[in-house]
Formats: sequence, structure tokens, C-alpha cells
Amino acid sequence: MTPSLRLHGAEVRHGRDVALQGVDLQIEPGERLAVMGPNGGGKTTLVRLLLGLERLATGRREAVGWPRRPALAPQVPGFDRGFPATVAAVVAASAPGSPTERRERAAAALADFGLEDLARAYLSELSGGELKRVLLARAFAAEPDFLVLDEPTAGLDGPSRERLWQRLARLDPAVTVILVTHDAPPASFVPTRSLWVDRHVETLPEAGHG
Amino acid sequence: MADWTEWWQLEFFRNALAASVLASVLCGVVGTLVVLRRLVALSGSIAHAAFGGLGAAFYGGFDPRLGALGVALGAAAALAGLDARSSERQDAALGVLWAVGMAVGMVFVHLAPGYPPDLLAFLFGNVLLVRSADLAVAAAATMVVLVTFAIAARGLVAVAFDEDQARLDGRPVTLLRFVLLALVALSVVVLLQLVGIVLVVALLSIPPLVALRLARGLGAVVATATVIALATTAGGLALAMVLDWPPGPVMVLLGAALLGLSRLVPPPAARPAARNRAEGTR
Repeated sequence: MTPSLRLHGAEVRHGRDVALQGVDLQIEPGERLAVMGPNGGGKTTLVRLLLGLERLATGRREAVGWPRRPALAPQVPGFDRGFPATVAAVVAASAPGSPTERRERAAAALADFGLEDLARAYLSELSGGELKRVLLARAFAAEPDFLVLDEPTAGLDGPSRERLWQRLARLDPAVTVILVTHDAPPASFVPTRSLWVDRHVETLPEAGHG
Repeated sequence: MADWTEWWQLEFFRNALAASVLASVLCGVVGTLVVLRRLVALSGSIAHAAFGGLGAAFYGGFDPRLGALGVALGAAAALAGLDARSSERQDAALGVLWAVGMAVGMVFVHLAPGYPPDLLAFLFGNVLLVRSADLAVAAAATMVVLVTFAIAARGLVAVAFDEDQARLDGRPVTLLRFVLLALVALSVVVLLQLVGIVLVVALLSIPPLVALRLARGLGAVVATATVIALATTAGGLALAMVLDWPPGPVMVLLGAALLGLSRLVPPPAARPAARNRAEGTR
């Protein structure tokens, strides 16, 4: 059976609110997905559901032999910035391999996002933009086969955005990438599909070249 | 006047001091995770729920600690099942558990035949009543906590830090959450001897709060919290002996004083050297 990730009639509720409804979706290795839609439409819920971080009210999520190493660069950190940890330790903790390999992967990911000099800084010392880059570095250091970037450019300055697009362009084509975005993705990111999420999920028709 | 050598002759004082040392280790290790994971209210709830078990065991003629431990572990298991997203009512659930535990305990104590137990010792602790046998139980419980922590440290810290990321990294999040809460339950039962049900959250939260002000890095925070806890419990014990006041409340008040003093120390946040270097490279 070919590896794939599927949602069948998926519905997610947050309290009494229906965040997503009737979602049928199949994703395969190597896809590049752009996810768009209004604020509060359920984009973040959809990607969290795909990653197995949301509980289904109804429907099913089937992960057939894949993904093995999912990673998420979230919009907002899921941790408390008062936690006494250094940038390097946080990024290395999610990297695969032996402790030495983890440190090396973390160092490379930090360099990709221009964070070398903040490696030994504590999380409480970072600005918002720096924290955002730490979240990106952590996701790439995990060497994922399924990478979700949830509004990765929000809060990033121009040079940092450029670093992100360069890093994304170097990614193994076999890795599935899901980019949640309000802005037009760069020319280097060519989506195989674009999804529109507003409580329901629709596949957008192919945009003309231009 | 009483002095240390004189106190040292007294078995109850030696036991109390040993219990303080054991408690300090728990405060340092478990307390730090409790504060960082924001489980202080949950720990208070487990402690008060444990009174229900304590009362039931007293009624049934068992060791009250067994009842307290059983209920504390049960509460830990129930609370571990609630995840962050589905726990919008967790705050209210903790309040209910807190009060119902106390109510159940009081009813059992009322129903128990014979003389009522020393309720004040249950509620506010009396470390001077610790016997050698109690000390052995506390030492065993502390060992269980330390060994568990040694085995599962990375996972426990990962879950305390960022649950979503821990799940993405393939860690057994629900199990780890239960282990963490079970360690809290075990610590609560040990700490009951010192400061009782009402004051136990103070010993779990004050030392790590002081340590977070003084130290950087998780290991340093745990070590500092252990030292602060020792100063609080052993110092509180000595102070209570001198003043002839109840030791549990004196420990808590001494801890509160240390916490107040620690606020005068500037937080260990700003590191101008690291920052400037970073700014210079941009």
C-alpha cells in the first residue's frame, strides 16, 4: 500500500464551536500544499489535525506507514518563554540521532536562520522574531518527512524571510511541505495543490501561469 | 537555652530533620516541574482530595497515608486523561475535586468510632511527630520519585516544556503526563507529614520560584530549589523549636520571606554580552 495520510469526514470541535466539518483529504509524500483562507477559518486546526494534534469529533484520520517524522513550525510557541532552556537545547531536543548528531543538526539549523550567536541564549531573552526563527530552526532540525509551516513569515523581517525560502528550496523533494499563508508564496515554492479552508476544505482550481 | 547539640540528642528532632532533607529533594525535583508546567493548583487539588482517602483509611482502620496515596494516585490518573484542549473546565474541576475531597474526609472522620484523630496535624502537618517507621516510608517514596525521574527525565521535561512538540517527537505524552502527576501525588503524600494538606502547595511552589529568580538552566534551577527547600524546611524546623511555634506554618512563612527577598534580586534575564554580539552580526 502506498504511504498516504487521509482524512475521512473529519470534524473537529473546540467546545461548542465547529472548527472543521466534512473534511475529506488525501496527502502523499512529496506534495507541496498551500493552505489559505480567512482568519478563524480553521487553517491551523486542519494542519494540527493532519499532524495528529487534534481530537476528532467524528470521522477518521488514517496514517498509512507515513509520516514517520512530522514537524511543525507553529504560529505561536507551545511553550512558556520562562522555561529555563537555551535555544540550542530546544532545537537539539527534537533533532534525530545521537547526542552529538543532535547538536550538529541543531547548529546547522540555527545557522540556516542566522541564530548562531543566540545558541546559548535563554528563551526569555529572545525577541518575538527571534523566537519565530527558533521555531523554524527546530522544525527543520527534526529532519522531517512531513513539514508544516503555519504562517511562517508573520513577524519575520525581510532577510529572515529570505533565509526561510532559501532553506525551503534546499529541502529534499521527497518531503511533504504544507505552507499555511496569507501572503503569496515565493516563486521557489510551487504548490502541487492549494487548499481553501473556511470550516470546510476545498481544493482551489489551478491558477494560470503569470 | 536549647542549642543544636542538645536538640540532636532528641530522636524526634533527628527524625524531623531527616524528613526535611527528604522533602527538600522532592521540592527541588518535582516542585520545579510543577511550577514550570503550571501544576500548582492541580497539586493543591490532589493534596486536598487526598484528605478524602485519609479519612476513609482512618475510618477503615488502615494507615491513613495508604488512603491518601490511593486517592492522590487516582486523582492523578483522572487528571492525566484531560488534555490541554479538552480541559476548558479543568479549573472548575480542580476546585470541585479540592472541596469534595475535604468533605468526604471530614464525613469519614466524623463517622469513625472512638477519639477523633488530630485533625490539625493532618491539615497543617507536624514534623515533630515523624517516627522512624514514617521516615523509612518517606525515604522509600523519595527513592521511587528519584529513580522514576532518572529513567524518564528527558520525556518528563519534554512534556513539561511543550506537549505538542513532545507528541510530534513521538513521545508517549499521555503516559508521561500520568507519570508526572503520579510523582506529584507521591510527593504530596510525603510532604503531608511536614506541612499538612493545606500548606503542601507552598513547599512545592516556593523553592522553585525562588530558584528561577536565582539560577539559569534547568539543572541549576533544580539544584537551587533543593537548597532553598532545605533552608526552608530545616530552617523552619529550627525556628519553630526556638519560638515554640508549630513547625509547618513556620516553614511556609520562612519560605514566603525567602521568596520576598528573592524578588529584590534582579532577574537573571539580561545578558548584555550575548545580546550585543548578536546585534553586531546583523
